[in-house]
Amino acid sequence: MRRLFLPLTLLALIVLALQIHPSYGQSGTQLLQEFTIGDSNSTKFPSVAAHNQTVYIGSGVSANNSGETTDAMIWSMNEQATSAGSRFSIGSALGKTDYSSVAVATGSDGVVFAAWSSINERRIFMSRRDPSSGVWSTRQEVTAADFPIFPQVAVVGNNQAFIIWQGVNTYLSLKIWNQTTNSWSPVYNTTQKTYSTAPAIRAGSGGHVGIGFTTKDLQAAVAIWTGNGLSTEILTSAGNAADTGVAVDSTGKFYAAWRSLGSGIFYAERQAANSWASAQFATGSGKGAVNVVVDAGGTVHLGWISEISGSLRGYYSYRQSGQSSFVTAAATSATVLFNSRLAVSSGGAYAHLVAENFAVGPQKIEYARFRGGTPLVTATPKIAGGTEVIKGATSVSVTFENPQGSPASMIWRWNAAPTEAVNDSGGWQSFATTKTINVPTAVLDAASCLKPSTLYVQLRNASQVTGLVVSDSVIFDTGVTAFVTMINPYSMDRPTTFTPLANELGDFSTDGGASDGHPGYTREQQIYIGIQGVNECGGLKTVAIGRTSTSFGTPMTITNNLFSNVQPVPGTFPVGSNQVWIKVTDGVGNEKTYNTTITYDPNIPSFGGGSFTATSNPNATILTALNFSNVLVTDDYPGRHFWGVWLANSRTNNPTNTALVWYPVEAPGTTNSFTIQNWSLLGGLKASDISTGTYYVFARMLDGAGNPVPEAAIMVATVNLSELTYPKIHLPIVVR
Amino acid sequence: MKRSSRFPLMMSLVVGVLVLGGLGLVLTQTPQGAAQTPAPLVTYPDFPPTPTVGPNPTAPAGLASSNVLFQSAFADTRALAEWQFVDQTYVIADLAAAWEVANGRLVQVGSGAARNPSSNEAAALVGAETWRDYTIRTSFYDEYNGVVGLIARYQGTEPTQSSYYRVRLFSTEHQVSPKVVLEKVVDGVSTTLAETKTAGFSPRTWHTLALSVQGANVQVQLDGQVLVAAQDTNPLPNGRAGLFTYAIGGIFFDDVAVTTP
Repeated sequence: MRRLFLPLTLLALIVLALQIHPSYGQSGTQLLQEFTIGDSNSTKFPSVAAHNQTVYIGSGVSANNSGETTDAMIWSMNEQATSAGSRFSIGSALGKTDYSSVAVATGSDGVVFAAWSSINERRIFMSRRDPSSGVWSTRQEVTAADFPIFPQVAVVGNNQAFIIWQGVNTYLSLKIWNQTTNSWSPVYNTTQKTYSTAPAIRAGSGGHVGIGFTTKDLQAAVAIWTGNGLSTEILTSAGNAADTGVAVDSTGKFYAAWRSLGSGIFYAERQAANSWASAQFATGSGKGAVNVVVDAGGTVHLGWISEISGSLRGYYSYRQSGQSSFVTAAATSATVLFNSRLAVSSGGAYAHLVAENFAVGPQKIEYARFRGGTPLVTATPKIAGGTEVIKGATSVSVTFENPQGSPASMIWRWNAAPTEAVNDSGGWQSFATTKTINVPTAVLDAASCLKPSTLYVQLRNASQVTGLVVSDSVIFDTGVTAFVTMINPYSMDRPTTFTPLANELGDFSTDGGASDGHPGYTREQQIYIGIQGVNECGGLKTVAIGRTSTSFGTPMTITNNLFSNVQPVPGTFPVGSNQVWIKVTDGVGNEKTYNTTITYDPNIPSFGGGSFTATSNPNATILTALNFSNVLVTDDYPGRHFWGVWLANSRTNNPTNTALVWYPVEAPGTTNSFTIQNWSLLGGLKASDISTGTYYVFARMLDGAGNPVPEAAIMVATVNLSELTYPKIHLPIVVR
Repeated sequence: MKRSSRFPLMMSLVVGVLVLGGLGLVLTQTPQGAAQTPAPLVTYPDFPPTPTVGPNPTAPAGLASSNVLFQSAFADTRALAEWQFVDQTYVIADLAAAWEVANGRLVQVGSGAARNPSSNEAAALVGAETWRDYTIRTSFYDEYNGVVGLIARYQGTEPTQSSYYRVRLFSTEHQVSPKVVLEKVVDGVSTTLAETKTAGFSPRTWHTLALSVQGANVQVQLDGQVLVAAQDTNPLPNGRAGLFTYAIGGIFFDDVAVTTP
């Protein structure tokens, strides 16, 4: 039996483990702060919004304690404040508190829009807080209607305020303010009449907008902005629901929550058009709005008021992005709360719930702050605005797009994730959406076109919550890398095909000279320039020619990393040795100069004597060895004063025949006597000329620039072939 | 031989453990029938259980009378027909105060069909405008409303322009002062006849409240004790009796009686 103990124990443990429910590793939420805003007398339907670390609360307030609303009030405070601070009136709001409510919403750059009803004036008004100056605009009329109530607002981007309101026994209305064009859209309406309870509106970062409302026959409904109207989707049966909250995430997915008129809070996620997956979210009798918020990281937050154990408290819970369950709700300590609204800050790290507190008289705003989910503290780095290749430099400008979770500081490192111990930033630095970041020399030294350099950045918020490491890569092009040729334009070393530059191409007409010569000589005031980019990641851009290292002519465009052309040399070009410079630039602004020395020699050399013989190869009679003896040439070309020889074949002894085909051949050796091996007697001849008999070989000496000696100095040698034999190639026998 | 005799034993134990484990899985993981309601997605923190609503209090001896003008124990929903429910401030139709009879009590359930909480002043009136000297008494139990009151000698058809005596009494948990206000409303304009800052009623327990009008004398009793009293030199002549609260729900009434001395 002892031998059975181990396997049986293991089996039992496996079975037991299968029965243990998974834990999701969520840390839960808790009430962090709660207070009653003392100067919010007679509040109804208070509103809350947040941007980064700032929380804005809006409400109609009876400033004279008359019991009726007198002002649209705003409070702003830090997300961790212990009091709301001073209130600020953004305009008059006159009338019964239930019908003179204020809504606030924030935009992507911190702009705040407020919309409120002033029921005695039968109008909805709007005001905008400029994110730079912090100044609220004077109130602007949104609409005048029979009984406009329950305004709500959402901001798309930073310049479009979607303002909705309801009436009595009528349709929900939407009007859009465009801050950029300073204009209003037409009024859009739902196709369903509304029940008189406050709706909700949310905008996602992708520009999607959803409106949660209650239909006249008490159904939870979501109206989705289509770009030119509202498309309403019904989520429940009639007589069943009220106070629909709505949210939309960055991908455009919609979420909704509502309270059942029986009991319970319900939650739904939109699967497709008119298809929602819903479930009971919580028990208890809900009171007022059920709020749902999806933060940038995808964490879903819900805030609501429910009657539990005989008390009306505010509750908050969240489902962390990537998790499948909601954490146990946390509650306010205050009771007798109604009509809550919810916002999150610092990427969802904090949730702010406001509600009417009816335990005080007259009722005031109850504010509660809860610990939210693990925030997504992040931003998308873009080196040099997202350019793939940039000039190598000791610093780069990095922009951080779409910052989430209110990043406050940052740490970075090149080519590896930073740690507090190892980084290139000198520890944590303050965060900015545009940051100049140093590039260590070692990074530049290691950079190449084939190996991008990657900047790894980690952000954290003011609460020291650290986000994931984000990165962006860039290729540092640290210089022009090109293969450059600057030679005799008649050199055979140059390509025969030029890159397109016909209008700038120098005169290259036949001038009686040879089509080859020493690369460092030229008989024209021109030079051949060949440029080929070699692993040039920025791409070669221009080339300019000059005579010094500092002065160049008009740059010419290089396309496809290739330049091949003959160009006139600028400036004075005296006979003799000359310096020629070019400056090459690449696409990211690197530049590099190259230079060469080339000798201008337009002068014809003179011939002082010499001879040569042609000896046929017995194994291939058409090949000959040309033996030159004591060739004397006078020229500036150094050494023996000639570079090579111009050769032509003929079947007649007429060296001035213009039909001759002349081939330049560099003379081997360094002395005045030399041998050119394997000269083919058939080169340049027509097929009809090929037969046994006498062959004439003409030779005309050339200087370095390809200038030939005068025609009178043409030497001649003869070969008499009794038979024509050709070179043979003996291939190896292949045996399978 | 020893080895072969152990093998069946080991196999039996293994099979036994697997069967028991599988049974455990079935019992713990399988839904208990197709009709089972899925658990809500979120749970609440632990709170003390909802207080139990005890039995209605008996009428104090001082309020007992054989001359009953009206009484109702709200035995069923037909009891609602005897009452007129009015909002004493302007409301839109969807936010009109809502009243129900449930569990043998008259319950204020908020406003409108959606039962939203509203700060409307809500009244339930009964009787005739000819009623003059009488006492209206009720038992009430407040869960979270915080405000209870009674009305006497109510006259008028437009709630915001009517005339009546009214006592408003606040919960001890309600942060408001004064706690008791006895007022005279004439054509919708209120004048305080008497008030007290110290008293109030404790929530989540039964109380009896009575408002008596005798000629120029107006008196309020809570649980048989006089709270406030006033003498009106220009008394309202007569009118209906009524109950008062806010339309935020969370309060119920029972054993309402209107008696004469």
